[in-house]
Amino acid sequence: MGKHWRVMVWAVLGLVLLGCEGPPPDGVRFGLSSSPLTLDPRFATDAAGERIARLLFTGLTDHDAQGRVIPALATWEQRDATHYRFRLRADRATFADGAPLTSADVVATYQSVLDPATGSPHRETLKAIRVVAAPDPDTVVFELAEPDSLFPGRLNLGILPARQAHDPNRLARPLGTGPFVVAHHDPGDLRLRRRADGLMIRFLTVADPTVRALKLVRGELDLMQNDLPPEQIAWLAERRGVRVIKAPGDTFAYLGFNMLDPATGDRRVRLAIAHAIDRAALIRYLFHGAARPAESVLPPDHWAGNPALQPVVHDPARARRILTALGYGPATPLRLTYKTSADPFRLRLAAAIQAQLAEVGIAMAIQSFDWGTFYGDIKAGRFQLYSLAWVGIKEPDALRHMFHSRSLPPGGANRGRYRSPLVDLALDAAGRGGSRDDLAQAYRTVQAQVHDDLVYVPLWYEDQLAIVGPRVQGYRLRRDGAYDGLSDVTIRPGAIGRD
Amino acid sequence: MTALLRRVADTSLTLLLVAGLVFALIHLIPGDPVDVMLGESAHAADRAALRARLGLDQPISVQLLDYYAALAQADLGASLHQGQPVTRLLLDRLPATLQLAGAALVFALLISLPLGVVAARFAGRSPDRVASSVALIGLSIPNFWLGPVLILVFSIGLGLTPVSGDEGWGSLILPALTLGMSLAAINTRMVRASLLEVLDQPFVRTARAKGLSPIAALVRHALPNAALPVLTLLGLQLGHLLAGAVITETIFAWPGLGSLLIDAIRQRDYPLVQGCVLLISASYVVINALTDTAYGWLDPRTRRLS
Repeated sequence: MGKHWRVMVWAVLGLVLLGCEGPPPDGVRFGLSSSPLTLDPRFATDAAGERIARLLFTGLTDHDAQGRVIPALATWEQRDATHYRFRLRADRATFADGAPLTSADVVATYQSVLDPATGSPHRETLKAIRVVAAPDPDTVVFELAEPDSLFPGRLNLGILPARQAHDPNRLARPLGTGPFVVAHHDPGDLRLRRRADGLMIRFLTVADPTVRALKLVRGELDLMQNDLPPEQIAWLAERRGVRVIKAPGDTFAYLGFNMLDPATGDRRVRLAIAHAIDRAALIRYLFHGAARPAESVLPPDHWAGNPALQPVVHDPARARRILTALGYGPATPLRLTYKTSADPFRLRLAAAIQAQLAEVGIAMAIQSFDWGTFYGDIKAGRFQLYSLAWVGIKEPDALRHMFHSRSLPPGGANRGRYRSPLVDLALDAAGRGGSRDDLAQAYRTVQAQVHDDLVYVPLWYEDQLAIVGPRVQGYRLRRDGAYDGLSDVTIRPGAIGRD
Repeated sequence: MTALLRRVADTSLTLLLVAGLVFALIHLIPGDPVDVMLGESAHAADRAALRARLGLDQPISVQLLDYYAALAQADLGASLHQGQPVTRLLLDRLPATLQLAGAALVFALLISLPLGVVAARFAGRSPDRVASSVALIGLSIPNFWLGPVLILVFSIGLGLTPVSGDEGWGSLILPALTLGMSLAAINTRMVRASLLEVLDQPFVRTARAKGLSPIAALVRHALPNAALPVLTLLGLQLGHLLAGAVITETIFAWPGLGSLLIDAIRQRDYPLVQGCVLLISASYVVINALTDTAYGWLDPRTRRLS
C-alpha cells in the first residue's frame, strides 16, 4: 500500500514539474476573446475574423481615420456616374506563395462574392456591380447598375488568388497579399507568419477575461486588445512590465428604443430618459475614463460627421418634471424593460442605468439573454429599450441601414421601427449621389434629425485599449480596433518569456 | 442474450428520443443561423437562397425526418458555418475532453480514496470530521471560482503550471483538479458510507480474528466489497464529466467538446449542437452499460443474478 502511494505522489509531482518547463516562446502571443469564425475574406463578418483578415489580405481601397477612402491595392478614376476604372499599383505585394496579383484575381474574387450560390454576406454591399472585368493585367473596370457615390469605399474586400476564389467553399488557408500568411490553424490556436521577417504571431483564444489577464501576467500572452472589464485593465496596469496603451475609438454605444411601444414611442419619455442618464459618471466609474461622450454614430471628425450636435444634459429634476406632466408619479411609476446580453460588463452597465433611471422614478426591469436570443429579439422588435454598439462604421450610408423607414429588419437595421419623412428624404437624396459636400450635408441633416428625435440615446465611443507584456514593443492602436499594429511590433531585445 | 438485445433496443430508443428532443429545442429557441452567416443587411432573396441550400426552408417535421434518416446512416451532417462534417469536428475535439475527464477522474480517486478510508476508519473522531469538512468544501466550491483561484495559487503564485491552454501535460493539472474536486467530494462521502457498512460485516471481523492488521483487513477485504456503489457513482460521474466540462473547458481554454458546444450554440449551428449533445448522451448510455458489465466482474453475486 505504502509503496503504491509513493508512486502516485511522485507521478503527480512529476506532472507538476513537467508543467514548469515549456518550449521556448515563439514570437508574439496575442490573446483573443473569441476565435475568428473564418479567415476567408468573402465570409468574415465577425470582429476577430475581419481584423485578422486585414493582416492576410489587401483590398483595392481602404479608409483613413476620418473615414475617407484611400487607395490600397489600386488607384481609381470615375469615368461617369456608373463606371469606375481601377489601376493596380506597380509596387503591389505578391501573394504569400510568390505569385503576382493581377486583375484576373480581383475579378475572380468579386465574381465569387457576387454569385448568390457562394452565400457571401458581402454581396449585399456590392450588389450595385453589374459588370466587373479585366481589360489588362493591371486594370479592373466596374460597371454599376445605378450611380453610387460611395462605391470606391465598398471595395475593401480582401483579394484572393483566382484559383482559390473559384472555390465557393470557405477556405481554411486562404492566400493573400497582406503582410502575414497563415502558418498553422487549429481550434483556438492560429499562427500567422510575418512575411517581411518571419516573426510568428500566435492568436490564442481564451474566452474567460480573468484567465486572459492572468495569462498576460504570467507571460503566456504578450498582447491583447479590449474585451476586458475596466477594473481588470486597471489591475493589469499596476503589474510590473505590463503597459496599457489607449487610443480614441469609434465604437458607438447607444440606448435604442422601440418606436411602436406606447411608452418608448413617445419622444417626451425618451427625453426624460436622456436627461436621467449621467454619462459622465458612467464613463468615469464604469469605464475608468476610457470612453468619450458621443452624439452620433459617426464621430464628429468623420468627413460626414456632425460636430454641431448638442448633448442632452444630465438633469434629473427636468426628467422628473417631464414624467410628472405625463401622469407618472411615485404611485404610478413608468415601468420599462431593458434587454441586454449576458456579458457581465453589459449587465453592470444595465444595473447602473437602472439606478440612474430609478432616481427619476422610472422602474426599469433588466432582462439578460444569451447573444443569439437577445439579438433575435432586438431584430424582431420584441423590446422597449436595449443597449448595443455599432462597431467599425466607415461609410455614412450605414445611416440609411439604421434609420430609413424601408430598412426594417430582416432587410435592415432600423430595429426601433423609426419613421421620419425628413430622414427618408435626406437619405434618398444622399443615395442618388452628388459631390462629397452635398453628401456630407445630407448625412448631417439625417444625424441632426435622428439626434433631435432621440431615436437613440447616444452614449459614448469606447476607447481602444491594448495591454502589452514586457516582451514586445512597438504596437500601435488603430481607432477601429484593427490589429494592423502587428505589422510593426517587435520582440524586445533580450526578452525572455514562458510558453 | 435476450437481456443484451433488450438493452441495445432500450439504448437506441433513448438516444432516438434525445436526438428528437435536442432537435426540437435548438430549433425552438430564437436566433437564426442564416442571420449569423449573412448579417443583418442581407437581401431577402439571398437569405431564402441560403436557407434553401441548408435545407432550413423545409417544415420542421421534414427536417427532423431527414435528420433521423441521416442518423440511421451514422451521418451527423455538416457544420453550417465551417462546412466540415460534424463527425470530424467531434472526433477532433473528443480526445482533449476524454483526456481531461480521465485526468479529473484520476484526481478524484487520488483524493477521495484516502480521505474516505480515513473518515471510515476513524468514524466519529476528529480525522473523520476533518475529511468530511474537506469533502463538503470541495462540493460547495463552484468550478468558475475554483479554476481562477487554482491559477492564482499554482500558476501566478508558485509558477508551477501554465495558466491555461493545451500545452502539454502540465496544462492538464489545473483543469483536471478543478473538474475533479467536486467529484472527489462526493466520492469521499460514498467511500466512507459504504466502507462503514462493510466494516460491520462478519467477514471483516473474521479477517481481523485471523490475525490481519486493521489496515490489511480494510484494504484487502473491506475495500473491494465497498467498491460496488463507488463504481456506480464513478460511471455516472464520467458521463457527467463529459457533459459538465463545459465551464472548466471555457475557463482553461481547453480545446474540447465543451468549448465546441458553446461556440456552436452561439452561432446557432444546428447540426453541430445536435452532434455534440448526441455524443454526450451516447457516452452516458455507453458508460452506464460498461459500469453494469464491470459489476459482474467485481462482484460474482450480480453475475449469478442476471
